[in-house]
Amino acid sequence: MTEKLLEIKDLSVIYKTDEETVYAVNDLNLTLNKGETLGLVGETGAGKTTTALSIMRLLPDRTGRITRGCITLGDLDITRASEADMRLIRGNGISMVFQDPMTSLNPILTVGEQIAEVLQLHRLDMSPEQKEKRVDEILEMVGLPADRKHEYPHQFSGGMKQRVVIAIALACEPQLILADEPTTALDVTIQAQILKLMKELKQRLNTAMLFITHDLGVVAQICDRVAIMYAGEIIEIGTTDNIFEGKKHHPYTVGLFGSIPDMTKATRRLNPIEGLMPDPTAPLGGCKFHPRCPQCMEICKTAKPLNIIDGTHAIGCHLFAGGAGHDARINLESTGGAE
Amino acid sequence: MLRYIAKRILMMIPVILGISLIVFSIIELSPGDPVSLMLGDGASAQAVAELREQMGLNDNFFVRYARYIGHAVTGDFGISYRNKVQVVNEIASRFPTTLTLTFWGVAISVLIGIPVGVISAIRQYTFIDAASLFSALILTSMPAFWLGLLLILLFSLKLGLLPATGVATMQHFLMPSVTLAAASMATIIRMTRSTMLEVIRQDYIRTAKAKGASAFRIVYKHALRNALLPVVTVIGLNFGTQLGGAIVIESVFAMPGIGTLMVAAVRTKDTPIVMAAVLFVALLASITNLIVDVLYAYIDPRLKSQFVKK
Amino acid sequence: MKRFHLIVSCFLIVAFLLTGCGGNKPAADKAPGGKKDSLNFAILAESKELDPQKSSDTLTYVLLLQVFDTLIKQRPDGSLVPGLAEKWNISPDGKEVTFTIRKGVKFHNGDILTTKDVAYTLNRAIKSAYTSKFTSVMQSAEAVDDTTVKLKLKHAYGPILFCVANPSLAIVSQKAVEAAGDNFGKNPVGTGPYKFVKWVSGEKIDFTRFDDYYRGPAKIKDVAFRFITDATTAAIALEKGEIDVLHNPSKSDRKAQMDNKNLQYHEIESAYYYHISMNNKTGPFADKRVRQAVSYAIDRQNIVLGGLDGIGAPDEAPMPPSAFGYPKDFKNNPYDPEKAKKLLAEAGYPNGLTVKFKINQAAMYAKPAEVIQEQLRKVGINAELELMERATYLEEVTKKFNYDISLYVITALLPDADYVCYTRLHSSMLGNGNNFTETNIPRLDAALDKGRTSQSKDERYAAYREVSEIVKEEAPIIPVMTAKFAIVANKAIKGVSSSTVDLHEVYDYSWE
Ligand SMILES: Nc1ncnc2c1ncn2[C@@H]1O[C@H](COP(=O)(O)OP(=O)(O)O)[C@@H](O)[C@H]1O
Ligand code: SF4
Ligand SMILES: [Mg+2]
Repeated sequence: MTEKLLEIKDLSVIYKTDEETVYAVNDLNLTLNKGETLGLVGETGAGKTTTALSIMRLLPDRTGRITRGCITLGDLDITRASEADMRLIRGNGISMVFQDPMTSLNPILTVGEQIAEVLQLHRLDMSPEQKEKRVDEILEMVGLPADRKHEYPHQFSGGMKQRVVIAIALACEPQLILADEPTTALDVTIQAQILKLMKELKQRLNTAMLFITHDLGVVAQICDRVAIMYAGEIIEIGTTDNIFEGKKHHPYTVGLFGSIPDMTKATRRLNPIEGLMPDPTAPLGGCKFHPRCPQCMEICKTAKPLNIIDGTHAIGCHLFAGGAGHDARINLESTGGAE
Repeated sequence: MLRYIAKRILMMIPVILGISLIVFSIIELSPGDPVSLMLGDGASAQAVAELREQMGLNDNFFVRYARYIGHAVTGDFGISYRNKVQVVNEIASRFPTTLTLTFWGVAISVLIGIPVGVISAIRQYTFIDAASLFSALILTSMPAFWLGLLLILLFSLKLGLLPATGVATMQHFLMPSVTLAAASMATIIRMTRSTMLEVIRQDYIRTAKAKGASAFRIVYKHALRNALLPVVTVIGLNFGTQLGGAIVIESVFAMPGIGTLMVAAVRTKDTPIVMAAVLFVALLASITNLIVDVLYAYIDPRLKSQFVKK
Repeated sequence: MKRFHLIVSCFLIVAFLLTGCGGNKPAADKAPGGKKDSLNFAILAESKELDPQKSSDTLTYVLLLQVFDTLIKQRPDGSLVPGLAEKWNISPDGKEVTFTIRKGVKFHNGDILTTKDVAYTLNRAIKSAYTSKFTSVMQSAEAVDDTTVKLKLKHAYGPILFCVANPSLAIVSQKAVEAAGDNFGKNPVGTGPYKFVKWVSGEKIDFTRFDDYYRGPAKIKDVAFRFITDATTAAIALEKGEIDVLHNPSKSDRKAQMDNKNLQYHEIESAYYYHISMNNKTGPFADKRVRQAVSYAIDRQNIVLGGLDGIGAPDEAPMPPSAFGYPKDFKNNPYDPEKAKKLLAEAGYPNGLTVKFKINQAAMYAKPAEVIQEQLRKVGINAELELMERATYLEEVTKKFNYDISLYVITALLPDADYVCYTRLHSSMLGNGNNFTETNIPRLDAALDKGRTSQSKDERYAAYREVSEIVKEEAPIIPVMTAKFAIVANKAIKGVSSSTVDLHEVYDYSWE
């Protein structure tokens, strides 16, 4: 049940422009098992999207660059794969659902054409009729009538468009879906519908998912495990139970939940925490959170905290020093796994 | 859609009428007497007066305008003052040259301008990009007559490859069309480049990449057609300018088109010819704009559905 | 995607159709003997319709001469020789001219030229508003018998033979004119060496040899007159061999064309001359002394140099030197700026004056006008140059007299002093673009009338010397200079020559 699907090791990504260098992701480690849903939670700018784009190798051409680390999908090292190999992976092995359904679809192609395109690219074995059938099938699966495939994106509402985007992502039944805030742009009732749909489909197809969000309520509903990201690093990771019910938390996570880290009454939005994220262009030594941390200690300003709390729960904070594996990095191989 | 086209055609009528009144006023109210120009130096006052009367030029301005429009709607555009030929025949005989020239001008500017603009955009900040922007700058700032003469000097005189004057064969149209294309090509290159740059930043391009589409497919299938929408409008609007540019080019390459006809007619105050030529060009420009708009709606489903709903 | 392909296909179809239109190749231009048998003659504007009695411009004349003949032929050098009339005779009172018409001359439609055609043509010219400037003295014409045509005049007229020789009076076929009506000018039928073939609007007119021409068939078979409005393009086309003869080439190509070993360049003083016109009736130039001051202020030699790049000659009498009646060795007021200043002071302008100097904006006026402006400035006349579009100029200056001083030309369409002097200076020609200085000097009128009606050559010469003297004294206008006009052609053509009257007959040409 806990077969490893994706492994990210020491990933560092920068954006280099003429004026500055942004250190977007710093030494990130993450493992995702087959069929598992991992929530990636963090404020805007934490590096969530960058992480997902790195997995797709779709970082912006001239500026974005992976400087360190590797990402492996099964046997394939994505950071070193050829562009041709990557094209075969994208949309087929890994699909991505983007944040804004309003702009994610090409306005001048029918939704049917856009879904069929993935099949044309990856299912060379299918006849045109089979492809058409598959398009109908997949549309029905995401809850849209098949005969709407001849319509254009502007004829659909936001929620329906996101269903189309999901249909595109699922068309080739990939092993992994990267969902980058798939519901953020939608209003609340639609959010719930889409979420429900994704949960259902995921279970039905047994697809692994990296679910990026800053909505804790969403996380609780859909994820098996949760990783909290701050300034390009993962500062806490554990099973959904660990995060929502565990007693020990990273001070940032505590801030996120506000005063009541109660799964039942969880606040829907991340609580604003006083202060700002550190300037991503000037890497900070020690604990990245120390300028904002109410419990900051001397050591925090110089040494990077790395702590494991227990088998499935890891927190990167000096408060928990002395626990098991003091020097180890946050446990990536944690097996909180299936519910 | 048909209703829309019909509406647009109806809307052309007041536009054309307005243009006709403006042009008529400009020619008629500007100084200079066509009859004196026709008869030349040394004609007696009596001879001038007689011919004026004969041509009905002594009537009041509005009477003459009304008479003109009255005849024009029946398809009678009168007889050239200067050449005594039926204006309609004259326009008809000149039209193919101008149309061929303009067509190839537009075609060349599009066939070169769009690919160069695309390459320039997808290779932004490279040498190719800089080179194409630089040549676009040179093309826009080079006056057509000058470029035309340079081409003639090079290809006709020095290399002897192409004829300098006339319209007998397609070869005759090559240099004039290239000259005509030059100016609008620059606009098309820049326009394509900038819309293309904007389009390739769009989310749906990222979606296409995430599907595993190749760079070529992304440009051809997803980016280009979206980027072309505004370019098509520009090409349509440019059409009028192209016809204007044709005037200079026809003169440089000694081509019998509407442009040279119009210039000669303005000089001699040949009102029937000027009127008909201007109206004709205006009509052509209106029709082109209509075609472009319909084409636009055809390429852009967002607009198309607007018409369908109505 | 399908739509996209549809658009591309439409494009290709249109392209194909348009391309199909222009497939015809120019015909081979070699005669069986290997000698070139065609000629391309370039003119810098499209001519008007080819109806002699509806034309009065030199450009159209160049074409008329190929298709039509006049009763009396004017050679390029200006001399008069028999044309369709074998001989002619002027009655002692000068009021009747009798022509003996050549026998057996054929029109292009095969008809034989009759005296009726001749009388019809002359009467047609008398009635036409276009040609009244040549026919105003003519009363009527009548066919007396099969060989004789009598032309009655209102009064004796010195240059009458030049009038008859003018291409505007070229003989047309009555039958063809009446059949074609208003379209005659686009399907001309004459007796000339070349038959009209077709007119391609804006591009060219094709002619072909008329084998029954009364002087014998022309040596070159096909002639195209091509309209090339851009002088530089025309020069290149000539150099390249696309055209063989270029009428009135641009002065800027003169040196290169003269030096080109493959070309022949002929130039001669033109039939038009530049003159300064002043408003004799209102404004400062109503005072004779101010006009005289201008005549002393200008240095003709320098205007020729600065305004015409030296391609011309000073002209001191009020007519071009090529015109009949030009007084040889006549000297106008000399260049004397001091005298000019003195005259201005006497007229009440010791500190100079400011006047409006209005001209047509064409380069042929603008450059000389600037030199004149500078010369006037030196004597204290501040002439403010105003450049106007041609039609505006004609209206404002030559018809409404809304100006102080101007520079203009007049072309001697008849190579006779009468034509230019009478038009510009006689009080009966006041206004309407002719006498726009409003000159009204009785003794000048008398001299002009004498020159016009006298039958004696000597008397006429004397009259025009007197006209020149009066113009020198009264300075209603001030003659300045004549330019040169040119014709440039392929060296291999024989028979090309310059013409004082700007008349060129392709009939005279042959390929070497
Ligand atoms: N194309 C880019 N060029 C430069 N900096 C970027 C670019 N994209 C993202 N960044 C920066 O990288 C950091 C991480 O961004 P992102 O991965 O989008 O965070 P998130 O998705 O968590 O909001 C931010 O500081 C952001 O400003
Ligand atoms: S390491 Fe120190 S500064 Fe960082 S979160 Fe823990 S206590 Fe706060
Ligand atoms: Mg993001």
